[in-house]
Amino acid sequence: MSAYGRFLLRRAVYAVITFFIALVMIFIIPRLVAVNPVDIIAASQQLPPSAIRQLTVEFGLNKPVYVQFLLYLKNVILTFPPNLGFSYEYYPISVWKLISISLPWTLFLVGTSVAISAFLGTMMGLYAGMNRGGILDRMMSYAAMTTQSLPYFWIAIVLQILLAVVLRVFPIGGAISITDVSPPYSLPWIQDVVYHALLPMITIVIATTPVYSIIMRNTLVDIVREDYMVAAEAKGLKKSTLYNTYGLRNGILPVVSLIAVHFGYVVGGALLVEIVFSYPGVGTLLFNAILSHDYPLIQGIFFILAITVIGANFIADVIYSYIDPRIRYT
Amino acid sequence: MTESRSRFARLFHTEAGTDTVLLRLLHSKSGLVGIFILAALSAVALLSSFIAPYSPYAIVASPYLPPSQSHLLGTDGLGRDIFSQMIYGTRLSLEIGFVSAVGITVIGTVVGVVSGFAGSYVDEALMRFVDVMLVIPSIAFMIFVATIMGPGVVSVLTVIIVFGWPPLSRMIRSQTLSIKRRGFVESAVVSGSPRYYTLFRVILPNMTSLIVANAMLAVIYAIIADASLAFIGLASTNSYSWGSVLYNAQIEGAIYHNGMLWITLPGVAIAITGIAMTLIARAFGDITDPRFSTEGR
Amino acid sequence: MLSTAFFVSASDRATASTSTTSTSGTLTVGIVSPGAITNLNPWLAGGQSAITTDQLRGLFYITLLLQAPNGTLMPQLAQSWSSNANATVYTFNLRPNMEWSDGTPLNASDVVFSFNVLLQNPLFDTLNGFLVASLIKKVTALNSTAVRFTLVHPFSPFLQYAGLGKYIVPAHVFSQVSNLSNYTGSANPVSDGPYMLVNWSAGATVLHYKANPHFYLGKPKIENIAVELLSPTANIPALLQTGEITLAQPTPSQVAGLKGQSNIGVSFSPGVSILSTYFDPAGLLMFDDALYPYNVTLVRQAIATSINRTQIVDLALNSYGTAGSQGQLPTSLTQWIPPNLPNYTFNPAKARAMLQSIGFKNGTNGYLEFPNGTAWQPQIMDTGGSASSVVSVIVQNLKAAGIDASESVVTIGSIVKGLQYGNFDMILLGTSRPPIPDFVLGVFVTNSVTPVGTQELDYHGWARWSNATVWNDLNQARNVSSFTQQYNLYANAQQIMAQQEPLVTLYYAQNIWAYSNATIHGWSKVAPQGYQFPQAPLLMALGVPSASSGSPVNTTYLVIGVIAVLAIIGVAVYAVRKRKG
Repeated sequence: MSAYGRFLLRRAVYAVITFFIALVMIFIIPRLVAVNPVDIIAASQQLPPSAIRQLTVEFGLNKPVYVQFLLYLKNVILTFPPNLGFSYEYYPISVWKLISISLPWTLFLVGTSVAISAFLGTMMGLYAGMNRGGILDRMMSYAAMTTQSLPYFWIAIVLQILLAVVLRVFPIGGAISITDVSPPYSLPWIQDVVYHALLPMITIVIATTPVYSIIMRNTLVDIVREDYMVAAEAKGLKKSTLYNTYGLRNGILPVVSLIAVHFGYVVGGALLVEIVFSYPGVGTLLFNAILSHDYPLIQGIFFILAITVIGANFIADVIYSYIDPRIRYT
Repeated sequence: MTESRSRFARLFHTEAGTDTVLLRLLHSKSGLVGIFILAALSAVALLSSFIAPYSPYAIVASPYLPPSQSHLLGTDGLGRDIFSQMIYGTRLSLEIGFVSAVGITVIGTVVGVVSGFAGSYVDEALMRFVDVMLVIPSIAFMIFVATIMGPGVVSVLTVIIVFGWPPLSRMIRSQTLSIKRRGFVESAVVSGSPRYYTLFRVILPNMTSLIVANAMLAVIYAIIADASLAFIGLASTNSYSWGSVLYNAQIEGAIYHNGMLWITLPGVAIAITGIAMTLIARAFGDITDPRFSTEGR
Repeated sequence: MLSTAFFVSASDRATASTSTTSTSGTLTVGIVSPGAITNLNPWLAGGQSAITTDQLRGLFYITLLLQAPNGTLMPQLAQSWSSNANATVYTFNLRPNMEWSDGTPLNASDVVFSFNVLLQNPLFDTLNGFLVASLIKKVTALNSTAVRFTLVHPFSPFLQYAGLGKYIVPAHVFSQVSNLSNYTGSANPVSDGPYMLVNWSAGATVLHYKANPHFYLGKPKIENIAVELLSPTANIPALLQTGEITLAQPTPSQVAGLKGQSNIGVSFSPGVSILSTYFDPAGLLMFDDALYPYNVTLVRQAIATSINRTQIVDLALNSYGTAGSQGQLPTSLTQWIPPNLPNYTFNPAKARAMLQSIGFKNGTNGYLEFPNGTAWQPQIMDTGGSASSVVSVIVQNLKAAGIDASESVVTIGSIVKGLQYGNFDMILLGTSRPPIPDFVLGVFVTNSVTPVGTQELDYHGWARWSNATVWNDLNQARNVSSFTQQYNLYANAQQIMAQQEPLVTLYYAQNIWAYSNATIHGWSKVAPQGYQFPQAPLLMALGVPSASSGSPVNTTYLVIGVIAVLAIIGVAVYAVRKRKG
């Protein structure tokens, strides 16, 4: 096996181990509190004891914990789509079904926003790094400081009040307009969806762009000191050519790795932004599941989030190693 | 022994000694601003019971009064003074921020130093665990754990600390490794000093500014995390933090009662604290590593 | 027209509708839901979305009878009903010539089928607590419009339980479904209600309905209804003001902010409409009646005396509610409430004196101590959120009376555990109960108390309070069918409950609807009793001008937004390129 293959294999093994530990945490944490979730459903629905017993058996909660764990592993790993159990709230709808409805919205929101902000951030960072101490450099520095010091959702609240409630430029929330009856994926439908997604996206872009830009800029500051850059500049290469070729090529690496490391954070923040805008993604689903104490659904959402984020990290590792051949052999 | 200690101390001071760091921090413009804001906020927090005109829990007026002289930010749905809630909120938010920061810093430093210092299997095991913790989406998991544990200050602190230390330990570990490789540590090891001596007298002091800078950042991380948890109703509702004031403002439809102040001010307060902490941390960062400064020195 | 005629005949107090403009617009309704509707199985509901699901299903599956907020039964699919003297045989007579939305005749066999499903699947019967399966010996169709139920034992509230609590579903559809538990609804369910669902798919957050031309009252006036499921954090006042929705249920605090805004109208009613009845949302302060000192009647009475229930309604509910009667029945059931029930008028000084009279002492910190000198610091558990506002007021009240109480915000799991095992001081419990005396009075009555520390699965035993007379009265009332007999039994039970005060009934909350005046008019004037969604828009002939229907995508802003984003990107690219060039 080649060194590159070994590297990929090792990263894959790490990803699997991480995933397994996340699985164990997801399984154990709800069981640390000794409340039978069926009792909670029973209480909110005023079920008689006979129904409580029937549900306990149906949810497999009468089995010993280790059997429950093995069953859980079997259901989530060996089954496709993963059998994440039934939502208490929406019984008999499976958790997988609920998540598969809302996950695309979140991925659309987060994916598009991250792409936009990574692009903007890289460009701005490149410019700021070229003009260290310049206006944009200072502005980005303060912007990063401010957005890093703010809860994500607060930006969302302020934008919502300003742009949707006061100025009425954007809709207040939701993913599609209530009166929209156009078939999915038709042009008016897409317009409607984009229009509704703009405000949440702007929030995420505002919150994350400065971070990417700062990383890009700081990497550039480092690269400028590298011998080859000094040599190239001495040879009389134009500064902009230098930055746009060598600078961008080398500076993009930390941004790629940051996107991966940051992905969990962005998703986490997006969950709260979704709640503010009532966007029908995983965040709103999670919030509602928390409100209705729907533990299988909460567990399922974290399962999917863990897979998404761990998978994104693994892919970033692969891309990173592809762009930068140096790390293939480490 | 005292002789070698002073030699290490001298070496250490030429790097970035505690006294020098503090002095230079006060000379750094941004550091000074940061410290000033932090001092002002701490004063508000410590003197909250004197500054706040009312008890934040007491029903003192009619509900939903707009801002006025007697109620600077108006009153909430039960007729409680929002300004007093903000003042008391400063105390709880800073408490949560600093207590979590201490927790995060202690755990992160211990794990990082032990990992870097011990090496081999200990290092491998600890860092794999840190890898896992880094990849897990932390806000989401904090929400998960806090839901299970139930609302309250204890569960908020727990989840913030549990998910906050891994990045720090990573950083501390690589710093430990880099210090370890320097000559003076190796000479201390060779000269037969006990390992814990090397650890506490040589390695840790050399990382003071790094640790302090990151502790400052941990404070703002914790305050934001608390606000995020509060925002989905997972913070304690019988004590006020900025996050729970924001939560109340949001669920009570604040803009229709008291204008924008109620809902925007908690965010502004968090941002100001965050900027102060970042300025201080950055001043430390500039001192130890001036390359990234925007101040163009 | 037909609908108003029906309404007038059903209730003498209703005034005729003024606005009968025929409209073909779309009524946009926002309903707060803890999530998307993924399941339209008529026998399954779950947790908190049960109310939403039933409000939405109630537009296309309806029940035999309707109920006014005051408990009076009204005809729906059944036009008349009768029972035998000893309350064991009940007969419902359906309207003739009814049809399902697909044109299939709707007759007695559908009713028989609907109840047989419940008999075969007892879990389906547990929806909303109206349990009938264990009561029914057999259900038979006498002819195409008459259905007879024979019960295993006398049960006088059967009309309410079976008539209001159970959907009548199309036999010709559901007899084809092999596993009813896994049925989650179809894209266009066959309807006996006023509306039909259009192209529903699981997980949709917007549901589109169109009028059912086969509805027994004729085709409803409003052609289309679009219901958007709003997140609990949705900014309802803003949605109404911007016209994104025209009708929604704001929380009391949200509606307080809308007061004085001329373009928004507000209508409120005593309860939430679920199935065909009204569930009265009530706030109860539960005591652990088996645990000292709450097992002492005078302590419970003193706590009740120290709570200012009017203040709770004014502050925590923004006056959208009424203070609770200690006989537990809501004010809508006035005809069942006897005069002169003990009421524990708010009086902190008296409460303190009551406690001192049984040995509680003034402590050094100004709060009362147990007679043995140890501190008494009761905790009131709630789940946070709006419940916290209520408990905040109670804590202030109790402190004023010398009780050093505090709030403890916990998970619903901890509350259920506390109730099941009986280890708590006080718990704020929010419940919704239909205006049926048997149902309300019996909720926390048991005939044998499970000891503290032993798990009690049945919620009836969670107050850990039992009283032989109340138990017998309530059971006796199920065997008799005359109003006077029932009244006397219920009155006696209420007297004992109000005197014993096993729990404090804090308030009955109102259900609030806010609507945009520009698009809806005539509701609050025409419906003094507060008929609400889903019935109100249909029965009240609301005016919905078609011009205002819908707010299509604002393409201008969309274009501006896209251009702005492109411009930013362009500037960034240009700046970089310029350097390069």
